[in-house]
Amino acid sequence: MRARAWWVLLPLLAGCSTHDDVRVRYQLERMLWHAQFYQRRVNIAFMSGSTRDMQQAIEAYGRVVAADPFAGESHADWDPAVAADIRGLMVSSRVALANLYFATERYADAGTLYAQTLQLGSLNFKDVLDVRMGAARVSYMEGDSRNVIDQCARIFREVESSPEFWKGKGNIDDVFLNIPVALVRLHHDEGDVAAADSASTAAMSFYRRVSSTWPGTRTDWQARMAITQVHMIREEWEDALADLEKILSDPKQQAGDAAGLELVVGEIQAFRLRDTDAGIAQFTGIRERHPGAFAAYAAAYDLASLRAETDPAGAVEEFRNLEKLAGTPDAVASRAMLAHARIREHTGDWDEAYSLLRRLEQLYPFTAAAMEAPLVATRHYAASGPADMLEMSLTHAREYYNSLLDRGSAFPGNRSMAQAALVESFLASGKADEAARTLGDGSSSWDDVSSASGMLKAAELYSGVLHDDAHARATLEKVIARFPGTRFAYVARERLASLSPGS
Amino acid sequence: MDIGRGLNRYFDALAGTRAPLRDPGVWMPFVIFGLVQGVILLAMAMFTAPWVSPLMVPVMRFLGGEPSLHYPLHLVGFPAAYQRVYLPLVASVGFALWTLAVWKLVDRHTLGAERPHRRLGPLLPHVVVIGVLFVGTSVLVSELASNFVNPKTPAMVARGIVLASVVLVATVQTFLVYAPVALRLRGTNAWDALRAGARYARRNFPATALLIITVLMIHLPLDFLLARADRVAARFSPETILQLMMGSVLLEVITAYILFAGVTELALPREGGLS
Repeated sequence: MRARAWWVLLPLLAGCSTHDDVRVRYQLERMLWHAQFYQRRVNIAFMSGSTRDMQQAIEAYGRVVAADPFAGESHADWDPAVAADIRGLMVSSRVALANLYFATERYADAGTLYAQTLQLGSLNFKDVLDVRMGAARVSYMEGDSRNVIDQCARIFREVESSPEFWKGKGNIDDVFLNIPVALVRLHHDEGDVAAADSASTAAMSFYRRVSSTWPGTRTDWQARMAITQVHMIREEWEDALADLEKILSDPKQQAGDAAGLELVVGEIQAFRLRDTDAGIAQFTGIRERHPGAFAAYAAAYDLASLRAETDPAGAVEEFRNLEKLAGTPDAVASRAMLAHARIREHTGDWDEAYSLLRRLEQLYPFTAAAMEAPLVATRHYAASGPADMLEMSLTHAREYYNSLLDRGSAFPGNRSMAQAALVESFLASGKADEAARTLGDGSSSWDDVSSASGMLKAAELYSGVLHDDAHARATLEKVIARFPGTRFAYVARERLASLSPGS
Repeated sequence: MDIGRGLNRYFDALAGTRAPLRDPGVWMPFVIFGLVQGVILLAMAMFTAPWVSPLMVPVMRFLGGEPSLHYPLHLVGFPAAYQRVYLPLVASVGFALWTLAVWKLVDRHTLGAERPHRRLGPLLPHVVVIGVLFVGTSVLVSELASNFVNPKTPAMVARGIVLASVVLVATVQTFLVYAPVALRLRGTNAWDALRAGARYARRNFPATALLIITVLMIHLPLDFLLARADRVAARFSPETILQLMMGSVLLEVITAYILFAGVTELALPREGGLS
């Protein structure tokens, strides 16, 4: 009886699959879970995340990627659904590993992995976009702007030609929606007029299709705003104005904050199209319609700036009122002080202007206007002397910009702007060699990014302004040695190659 | 019976569970059922191992659906999937083995030795009926309790419902737990054994209910953790769930022995009440 039972069971068991596909998927998921465990630890405390956690996450993802069952074998006998799951796991592991390489500034490794993943094919729409975006970020960090443009163009083409995208509900990630505008800007900034024209035509047609596919949605409004941005990049101010007015005429618009958009309309009218009356009417209207809003204060500043063109004394009064007005945002108050100081300088009242500039630095030290203040003083003394005051103002500018660039500074703004202002101060006082020496030393009190970009700027000054290629070469070699594997080293290598040999 | 006397009998019953430990025939059925569960748990946990996968992959898919073939959902859903095996297993194999142990315990007593020797085989269907009722009680009460608890239920209310369900299970099982002893002594059928067991439970209620509550409370912390397997997996590792389940099986070997040895200890000096 027992023997008979076995004879029945054995063919049943023998006929069963060993489910290798399920086993492989399970093992990969297990490895991936452990890799994600380390990644979560890194994500929780990214700023203070230990190098060890990051390394462990990289190694764990590396093991998942190395265990790819489709590397060299097709496994045609596997269940297609399970095989598709495994392929999805491999793609997400590759993307995660490449992202970790990126986070640890191993841009070459990240770039290679993104490229390999794209070559593997069989990616779904979202994965393709993620991988291409990763590749674009790597190229940007490596300073390879041509490849950034190339990857963005490919992302745009993928989105535009994807039936999956157009069949969706229009919940598009803002990053991808902004890519056509970014492409126009990149071509425009590169000075490639033909490419900018072509990118602009493609972007317009894409955004119009987005609007007609999902009318009335947030995406529709974002697309309309993107068209306006394209016009603004291309300095087609009449078209940009018409678009903005059309957007603002709809009370249900979701393109952006109405007060802010109205301010842009006023600034285009007043400062781009030079339609002063329309600008004044618009700014006055903003102050009435949106009292207390940032745009209302900015409109008051714009009104004073317009007045400065014809009535400097009246404008000074308005700037003063704005400085004193309770609730004026720091950005507007500081800008008003700077404009006030400039009027004083032009009207010959330098003492008052200088006092305003120093006060501006003390009251609003981290604003963009405060960053311009030492530069204004340096330029003034460089143009009209005396020499000892120029020296003093340069010393002061140096101290101020160093305080912003210091590793421990609380300055939340753009450090590259502070560095550019420092360089500009040296150049304004005719001391390009001192600027190159100061930046070329790579101050250890600055953060790495500021030090590295400062050294690159120094090399640029040596070769472009001082015509000293030997020093330029030495500085670039120092960047490569001090910041290996970073975009700064990549850019330094590119610039070294472009320097004349033997210099 | 007053509470003081009930407590005395409860502690006597607990103390009386030590002596039979010297007889391997008494505790072996508990260990065997623990081993059976251990083997099943391992087979379910290692369902992708090449030598079990032909059988276990379809079994796991049947028990836990497609998510049970994925890591870590397989382990997060493991307690629920195993419950589907455990309930029929404990009602049949488990209860049969425990009844066998109870009969061995009865045989050790003078009263039991005086009764004619009985074979378990012919009475097995009756044992299974008792087992289904015994296990069914806790399943039914748990189902009822879960209908009253949802994610929005205040913590205090949820705790109250858990406590009430423990008391309810203990009360009902008090009336069922003597049935294996009665079946050995009377040798009739499940219905007769249940009626005789219930009569004795009425006379010995506080001590028996306390014994069952003790066993249920011992399991409560582990059951609590296993009911929150997703959080355990996130806080520790998914494999922790398997370790907890193995621990639960080991604990059950001990608590099932204490329960049935204690109940037999309570029953036999009063055997007259069963006739």
